[in-house]
Amino acid sequence: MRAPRAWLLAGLLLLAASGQSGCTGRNDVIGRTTPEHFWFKTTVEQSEAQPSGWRAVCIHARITEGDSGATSVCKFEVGLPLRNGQGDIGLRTAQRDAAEMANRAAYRVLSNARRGEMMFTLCSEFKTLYDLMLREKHPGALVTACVSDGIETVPFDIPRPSKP
Amino acid sequence: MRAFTRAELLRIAHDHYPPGSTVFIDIDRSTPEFQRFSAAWKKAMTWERWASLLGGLRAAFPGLPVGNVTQPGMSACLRCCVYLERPLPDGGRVLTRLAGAVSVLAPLYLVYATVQHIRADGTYSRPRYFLQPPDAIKPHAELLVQHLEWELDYRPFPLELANVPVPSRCVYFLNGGEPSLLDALLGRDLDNLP
Repeated sequence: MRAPRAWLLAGLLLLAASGQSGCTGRNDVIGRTTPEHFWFKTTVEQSEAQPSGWRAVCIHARITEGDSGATSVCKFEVGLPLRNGQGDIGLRTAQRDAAEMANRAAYRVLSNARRGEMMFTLCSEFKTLYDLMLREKHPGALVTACVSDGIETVPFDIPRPSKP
Repeated sequence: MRAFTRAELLRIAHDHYPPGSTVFIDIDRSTPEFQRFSAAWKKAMTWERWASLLGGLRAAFPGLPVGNVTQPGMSACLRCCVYLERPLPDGGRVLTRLAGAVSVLAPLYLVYATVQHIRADGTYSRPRYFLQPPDAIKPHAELLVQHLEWELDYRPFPLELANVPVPSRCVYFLNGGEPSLLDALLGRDLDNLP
């Protein structure tokens, strides 16, 4: 587990980021994850220069609804190969792209969320979209619920949509 | 070796996935089903025969990339992949990923393939998925099967039972939808190869 103090600091930093205003009827989505949240752990070593290997991390994203202040958590595991047919996926690249795709997928799902929509439904939609986007970028990548033992768990906060 | 029946495969799935939905926020890690799933993965990750299988495959496919493409915990199988390339006259190439998925829950394997066209400019097509490897790579597929059967003593996953539903079970790594026996005992989207 990551130390609570480090997480609080990371939380403050990411809350400083801003979303977009909603004249289109979409929800405001504020806050974003950063590459530093993706504390990947290598669980399958790479074999020489072959497409192979695996690194994964479990993220607990606390989502706060703007209107009510109600919070809930979406937990997901992100895994990427260390090398695929396109070449090595270095740690920094994995972190950068995992964060970018997570933000894009979260924005798309949360900005279209209906009031009262249950978090388990939103979380499932988010995982589905994030999974598709990440593997489009890096064939072999995967997003699921947090299943694996022995990897890092990283919590962070994102405010949930509020209707303008 | 006698083949598994549909009822036996469903029982194995039920032993490792608790009743529930595939739309959820968190896994109840205290269930006996999850404990068994987790223990199966723990055992698989230190399985000496898997390491020796990979070594054997590298010797059997000299000069070809052979990778350990396992997605631990996020599926129900160990995976190996042999990369076969054929150049095309226009400067492009055909990349065939010949994969073996080995269940961590039952002594079953599946040998399958994806075929992708890489164009001369480096762009590529979406890989086509073959649950049964195409004839063009049959000798390679047969060699992979031999290794899986000899070194692991596993038997082929019965493809005729692949789509049998496993209703109302929480197959942890699905993000919704109804699981099938193939999902539960090997994994989803097996064609998603690195």
